[in-house]
Amino acid sequence: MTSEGEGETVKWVQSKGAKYAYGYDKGGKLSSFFGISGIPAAVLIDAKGVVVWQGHPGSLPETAIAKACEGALPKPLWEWSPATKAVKAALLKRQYKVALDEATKLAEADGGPQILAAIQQVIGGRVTGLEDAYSKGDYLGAETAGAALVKELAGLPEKEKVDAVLAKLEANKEAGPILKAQKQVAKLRAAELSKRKEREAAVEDLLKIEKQFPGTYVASEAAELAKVIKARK
Amino acid sequence: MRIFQKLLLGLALFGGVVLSAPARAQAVGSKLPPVELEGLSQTGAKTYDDFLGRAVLLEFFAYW
Repeated sequence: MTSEGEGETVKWVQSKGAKYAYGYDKGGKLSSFFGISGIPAAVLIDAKGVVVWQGHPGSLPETAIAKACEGALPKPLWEWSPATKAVKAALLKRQYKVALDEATKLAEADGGPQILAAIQQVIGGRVTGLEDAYSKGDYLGAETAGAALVKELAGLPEKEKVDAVLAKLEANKEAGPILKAQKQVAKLRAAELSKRKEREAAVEDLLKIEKQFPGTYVASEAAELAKVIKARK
Repeated sequence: MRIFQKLLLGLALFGGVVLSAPARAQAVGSKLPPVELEGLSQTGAKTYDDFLGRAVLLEFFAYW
């Protein structure tokens, strides 16, 4: 805990010989977002920036790690050569066409071909992620990712695939009520639910959703969240 | 073990863990909100944004 000060933390890290990166979550914004109520606790974020797993670090499955790494950049941005500055800037702004254009200008010695391939891999992974979300009935995930990708992939041929998924979503009459239910689940997921009565009401709403949309993605989302909320004291 | 090369193992976070606080149910499936970390150490990253395109394991712990 930072209430003990950075000095103590640094000493502890050094005494343990820990080699991993560390930082300070001042104000506890992140721990609050994740609802961390006890430590140790861990969260796995995939290469697309989506939270894919949360729990005790000792129970993290290797399969989750493998999946989270799909489409990841082979090298972190800070290890790229200084010549890649413009590519990095474009990537941080999620301007993939600019990033690709700048990457094509890089020399082989600066890792040009690898960086180009890595960016194409990231783009491919994001589009596949969107298509997968739609295929499994995660319409909210598809809608959210699609809205972002329309801007991020502007000027690239991959945008057509995004447009196609969004058009399918628009035309899918069954998707509307499911999307609404998914938004309700997301709202409950984000809620603090500090009172027992609030949690009971949330569980009831979630079980209604599960019953209303049997066999769908939202039903499994609702059931899973109901289980988590029920387990809270 | 190749997959581990793409994973930042253990970006440990200190602070802000209130043991009795009520909290959100779970964040799995959500996009990570903008992250502001202070004092990033033992990494070439200057901000969390530098981890763009990488899988990241965040571990919350305290030294005590």
